[in-house]
Amino acid sequence: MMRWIGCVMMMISGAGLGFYYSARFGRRVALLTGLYQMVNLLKGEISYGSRPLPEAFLGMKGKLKAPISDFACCVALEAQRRQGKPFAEIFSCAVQKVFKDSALKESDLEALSDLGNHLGYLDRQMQLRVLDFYGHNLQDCIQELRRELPSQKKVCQSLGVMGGVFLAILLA
Amino acid sequence: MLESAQITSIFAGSVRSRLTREPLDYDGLYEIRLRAERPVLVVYQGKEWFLGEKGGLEREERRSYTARKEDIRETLEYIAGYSLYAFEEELRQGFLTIQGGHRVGVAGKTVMEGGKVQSMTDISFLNLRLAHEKRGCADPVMPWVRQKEDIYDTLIISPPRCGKTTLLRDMIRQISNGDEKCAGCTVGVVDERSELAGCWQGVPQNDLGIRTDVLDACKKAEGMLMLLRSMAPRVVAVDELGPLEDLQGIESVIHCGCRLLATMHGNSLDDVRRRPLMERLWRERIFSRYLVLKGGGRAGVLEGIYDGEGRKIGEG
Repeated sequence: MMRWIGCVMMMISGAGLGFYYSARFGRRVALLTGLYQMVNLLKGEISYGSRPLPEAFLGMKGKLKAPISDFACCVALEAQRRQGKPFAEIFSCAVQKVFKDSALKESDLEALSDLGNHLGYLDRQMQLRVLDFYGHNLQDCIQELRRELPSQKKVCQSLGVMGGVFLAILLA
Repeated sequence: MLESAQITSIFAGSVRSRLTREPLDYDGLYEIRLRAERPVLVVYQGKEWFLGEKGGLEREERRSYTARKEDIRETLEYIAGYSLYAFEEELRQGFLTIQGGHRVGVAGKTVMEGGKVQSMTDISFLNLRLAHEKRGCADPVMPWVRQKEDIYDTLIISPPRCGKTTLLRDMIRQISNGDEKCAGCTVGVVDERSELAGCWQGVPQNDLGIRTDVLDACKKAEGMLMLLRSMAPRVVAVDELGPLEDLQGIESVIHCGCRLLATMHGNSLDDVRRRPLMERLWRERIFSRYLVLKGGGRAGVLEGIYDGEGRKIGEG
């Protein structure tokens, strides 16, 4: 009896793991889309309002969903504290603090931190070019992920279920 | 009352810690100058002091704190909110205005394009000039500027740092609010350098009265026309008239039947009358009152009040 219960648990766990990872793909796309939205808002704040970065981040936090809004808020508040850190460091710390355990991949975090290295440097055109560059890369990444999303979800879910069944058979 | 934290927080950590080590009366603080590899100078209660190596203010240079290039960079980052791009136009003019209407003058290496200053790099000199709001400082001049319901077109003439902006600010406040003898009226302010209202995120930090509309960071000539079209002011106020291009805005204000309050750099009425803009304004008898402030040390001391013909009608 216990063996059968173990087998069922194994199958449920395998399937759960599969569904968890497939949902994580979806969450990554949602986060990247949120970041793309943030970049567009930031472009607007800089080109239309010519706002400094802390004000721009604080101003757009209400228009973004969590955790992107948390990120914008974190950058703005830390910059306003004037603790002697360069902006790149403030930005990078906020990336780690907010997105470390999120669905974003390490490469996504690196690209986002790299954006912070270039923000605030030189003139307004430079800011817009940097944001355009990051935005285009994000857009490409999102499109590719969206194309692959259904198949990757299916693979994860199938692998999870099949893995669970396989382990259950082994145990049985 | 000036907020000390608002002022000290714009400085690099090393300067900030020394400034805050001893309590200062921030209402008596007028200037803080940072020059790379030079002592930090502070104008406090009418005298020049050195910022001490161990904090506080010192009379002797050998005990002073020397600003590093790094201090200037850090301070500039705080002033601009890590975003010098947002102050391109201000940098071209050589100053930035911060929260509270305080002005930070900058100097460094200019980048020229087509004979004009395009931008500034290697900024190594900063000069923070603190704006002081002195309620009631215009009391002695108000009877000369406002009579019953009428307000005279008035020009305040003074050398730099003698209180003309402070005086204009209080005149605007009093005209806008009114009192038991005179009703308040709508005042439109074109605050090109954000010094009069000291707008922060669109909200004036200085009290300009309850009937005052502020067009912040806008060119005077264009701003005066915009205000006339949009806000229907009875009085228009501008700080630091200078270039001939301001004339168009001034003429529009006068021809619309509005009254004009303005300031101009100068030592005397004769001194400013020789300038191209003032020559035209004098010929057309645009102003009915000239308030001339005394130079040298003390701020806000009147040398004399003149009528539109240049006759002295009041003493300081």
